[in-house]
Amino acid sequence: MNIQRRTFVQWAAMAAATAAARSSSAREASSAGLPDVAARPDDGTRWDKAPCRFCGTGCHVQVGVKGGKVVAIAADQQAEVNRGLLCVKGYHVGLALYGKDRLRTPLLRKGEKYEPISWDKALDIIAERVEKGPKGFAIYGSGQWTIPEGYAAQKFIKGGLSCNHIDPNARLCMASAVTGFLATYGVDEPAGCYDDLDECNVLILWGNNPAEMHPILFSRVLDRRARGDEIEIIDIGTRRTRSTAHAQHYLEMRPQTDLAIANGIAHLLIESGRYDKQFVEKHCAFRADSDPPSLPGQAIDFETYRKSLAEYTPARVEEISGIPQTQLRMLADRFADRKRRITSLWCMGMNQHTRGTAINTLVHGIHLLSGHFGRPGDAPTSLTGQPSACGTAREVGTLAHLLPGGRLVANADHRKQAEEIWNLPAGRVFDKPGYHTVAMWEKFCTPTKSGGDIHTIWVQVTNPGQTLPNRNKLFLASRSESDKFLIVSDVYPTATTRLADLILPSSMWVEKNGMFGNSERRTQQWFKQVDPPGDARDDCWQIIAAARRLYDRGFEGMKDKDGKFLFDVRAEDGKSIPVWNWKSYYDTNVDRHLFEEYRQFSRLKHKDLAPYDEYVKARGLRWPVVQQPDGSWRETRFRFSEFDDPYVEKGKEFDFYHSTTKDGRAQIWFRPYDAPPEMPDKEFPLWLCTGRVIEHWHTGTMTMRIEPLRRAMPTSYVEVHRDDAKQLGISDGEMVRIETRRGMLETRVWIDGRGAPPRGSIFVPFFDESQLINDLTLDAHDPFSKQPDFKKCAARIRRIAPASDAPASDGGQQATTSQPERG
Amino acid sequence: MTQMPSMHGPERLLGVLAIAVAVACAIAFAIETRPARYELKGFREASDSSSRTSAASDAEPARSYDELALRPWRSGPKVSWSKDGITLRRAFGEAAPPDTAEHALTPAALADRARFRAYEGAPPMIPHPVVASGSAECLACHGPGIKLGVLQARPLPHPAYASCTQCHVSAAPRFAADSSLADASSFAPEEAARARGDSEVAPVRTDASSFYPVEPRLFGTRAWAGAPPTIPHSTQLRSECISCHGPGGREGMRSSHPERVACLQCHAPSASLERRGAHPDGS
Repeated sequence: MNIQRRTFVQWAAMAAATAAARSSSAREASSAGLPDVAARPDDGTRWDKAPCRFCGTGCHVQVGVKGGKVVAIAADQQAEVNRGLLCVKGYHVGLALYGKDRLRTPLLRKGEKYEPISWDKALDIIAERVEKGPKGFAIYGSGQWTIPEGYAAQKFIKGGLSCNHIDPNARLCMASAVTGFLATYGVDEPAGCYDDLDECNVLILWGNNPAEMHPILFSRVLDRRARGDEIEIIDIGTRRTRSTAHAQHYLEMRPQTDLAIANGIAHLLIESGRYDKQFVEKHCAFRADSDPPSLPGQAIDFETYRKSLAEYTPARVEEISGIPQTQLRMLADRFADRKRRITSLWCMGMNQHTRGTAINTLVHGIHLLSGHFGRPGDAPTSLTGQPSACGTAREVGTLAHLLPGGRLVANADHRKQAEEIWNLPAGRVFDKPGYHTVAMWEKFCTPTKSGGDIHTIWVQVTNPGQTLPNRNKLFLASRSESDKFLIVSDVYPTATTRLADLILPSSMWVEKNGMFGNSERRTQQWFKQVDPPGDARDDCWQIIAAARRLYDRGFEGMKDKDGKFLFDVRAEDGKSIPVWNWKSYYDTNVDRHLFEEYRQFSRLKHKDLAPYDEYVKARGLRWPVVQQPDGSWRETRFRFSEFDDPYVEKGKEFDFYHSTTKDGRAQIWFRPYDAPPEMPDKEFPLWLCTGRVIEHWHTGTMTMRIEPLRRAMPTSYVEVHRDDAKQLGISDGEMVRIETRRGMLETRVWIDGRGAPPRGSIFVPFFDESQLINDLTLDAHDPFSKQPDFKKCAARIRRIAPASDAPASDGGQQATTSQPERG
Repeated sequence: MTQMPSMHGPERLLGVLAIAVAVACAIAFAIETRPARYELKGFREASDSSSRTSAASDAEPARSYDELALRPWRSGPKVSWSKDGITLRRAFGEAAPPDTAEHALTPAALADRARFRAYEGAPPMIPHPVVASGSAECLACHGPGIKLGVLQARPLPHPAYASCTQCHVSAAPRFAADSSLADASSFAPEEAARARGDSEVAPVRTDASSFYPVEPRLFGTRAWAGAPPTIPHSTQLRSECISCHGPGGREGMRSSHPERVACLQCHAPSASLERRGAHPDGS
């Protein structure tokens, strides 16, 4: 009765509103010059929560849906992360679904053309590629995979194919942060959280530009300052950015010399006796590289540590880094002052670094050495660039050497635990780590007869054709090998789909159920709110359906030890639900089934996850989420600190309970400064750095289809210092050619632009698929994390002859509207 | 209305009373500070109009909308008083508010307003190039809301945050990718084009997307003819009503009575538009 009445009221209200809107002159609609408007303020828009699709900050948005389409976005006022604010990408995230060139049907390459095929045929093709040789079948995934998607892919490869060739694009993004945490604390992910930003009074940015890349976190600090809090922002970087504009101190270093700066701080703290002796004696140990190098390294004593640092005097650090001694002493003074609360933030500057693991451990080290750890506001915190780099890549462990929940492929106990949870016969999980990203693509690009033993890569939710470094070597080369097969699941034509053999159209974001895990250990959940376009389907369904096709064709790996399907989903009454049929996929909540299974993995490393339904109620929960005696679930904000972490024994104050030395201690590393593998020389005299801009998210496949964002930043450019430009005879806005030993690119010069690199240094963003800067970058990578260095290599700039100096092509426009085609 | 019990009964009466007393006191204070003809405290000459016998009755009585249509707000002896609104002068200089609401112009105003917004509720794009890093550059014009030639910089509708470019990006990029953006590269395409007499400036919305945004609601709802309308949009980040509804706002969106600065005293927000959950009745 009530419902009927409500429906009637709604109908009447909508009819009245429509009538009012249609009337050519609202004034005419009523006698007293007053519009006759509806009696109901609701316009029929339904609102529901979802974490933002873009970066790793993990803001929640409210998604407005009307008529089966997303029609509006609002910042979620109940979300602790963003508290009713968003950044410009977040406000426009809903538009990402509605580019007109969404992929709607599976496409198979036939010569130079693509032909639409059925999902049924597509699944057979995938099955045939697996059957050709499961050990040569790889999945290249993403930190944008939802947690259940990554978990399904992980189980497909490691439990189903008994090979370990699965790696995510997160390898290019935060692998060095992972190895830094592991080497220091024995367990991955930050101890602190965003609450530190509310408490710190010194914020140090290590090669980090949060004003553009994590705007919500940066403005959280700036807004405190605007309210009267005294906060000192210290920007250590190789280029002036929008963040620099808000910093009291800008320390401009030469590329790679952050290692010398960190060592210089440690040296000053030790030599002046101003380090935190009590904290170090109780909770820390010292560590240095072993021979041969290994991630855990070898123990050293304090004296060895002190002597190793001896050469990093302020004078020597100035010589290496270019940072004046006074600034280095200022930094050391901040760390020596226990009254201040210091939060360090970093992202790609420290991670995309051939010494990425080393600099990560050193920054943790100076926080530990100075005792600036574990009190609210005192935190070394790495930020992530993808919405679920932590939740999926790191926690589910979709990396070539990991099993879920921080387990290692190489560890027999860990393999056994995975086999038990997955109900697999003993020995199913292969004991050798698979290929990491660079190796996987290298093998894919190497002819089979020359040892290139990866014959098929299935790419999901990422765009390696634009983001792999040294793209000619690691991506394009594979396309001239006729027996190499590239499968790509995506939502739009991209630099990767354009060279794929099989293209699978995917659902995205609120077109499917999902879960993400953000930078501060916060696991988030959302429900499907609109239907995907055409024949696009969930990535998770694609994996399960491919697995089922293999099962139906008799592939043993897709059976558990009782002969049951690997992704068997049962209703409460015990009946099997055929979720591999798309029609039945949403008969149940597959995410919930997969998450409840995955959750069993989360205890080993004390990353306890709550039941799925707890996340439905919350705007995310930070693990470990521990059940209380009253049955409620409590999240943890500060790990390893007794006052908040339930796994720290009472009375210990701090406890690093996954310590690599098994004694509750964190490791303070010594690591020397080493020169980068490629430096400017006579032939290539400039440093080339690459990165992002606030308007675009990564390769721009989504944001370049959002008109306000594309319009604000339609093309790439190169930032050049005014004096370098003068010397080269080039002017602002002119087209130039940038060259490195690996490739070249033509783009426009921006002098005194968004950022300002110092002399001898240039910067190019990587979002623009019509100007692929990764043809130029270096594939040299960190020895532990295998993460390549996109931030420094040697380059040169040349003027282009005036004749060809035409206005910019309409490449950006083409890129967003053309259909996928080989070329 | 059960969602807002605090607005019922005695509390509501008290609230209205408190505001009335506050307004009366303010006006009484203003009158006290005028030079009096006699130096006699507490004595004030009786006015020539019988309506001016007490401080409270010095307040301009709120007219009904029907009355407003017949007799504009700022006619009569109170015209100078109504121009004295301090907030108004600071924000809009000599700009004068309209005498009555301009409902006929509202659809056009909203359409114009939508051109630099992806959907109702999206942060508007900046219609001119920016090099701003912090907020100081922006607030120089958008703090007070100054008028520069044909351009009207509107004052902020929300408290000043420190990082304007976090949410607002320029519709006039440094480098245009194609010719359709060329127009946008000129300073303030919106106002400049209007000044030139052009009607077409590349809108934010294009055919390249099948996103069909939620459109702004034209008007609020009224409980009965003549009742103050409810607010037809979310008030999130829109606490300063005068930014859009003041005399410097678009014609069709301007309030006829911006002197009455306690807007929410009469105009109620909507729980559903504020996404606080709708009333079970759907109202």
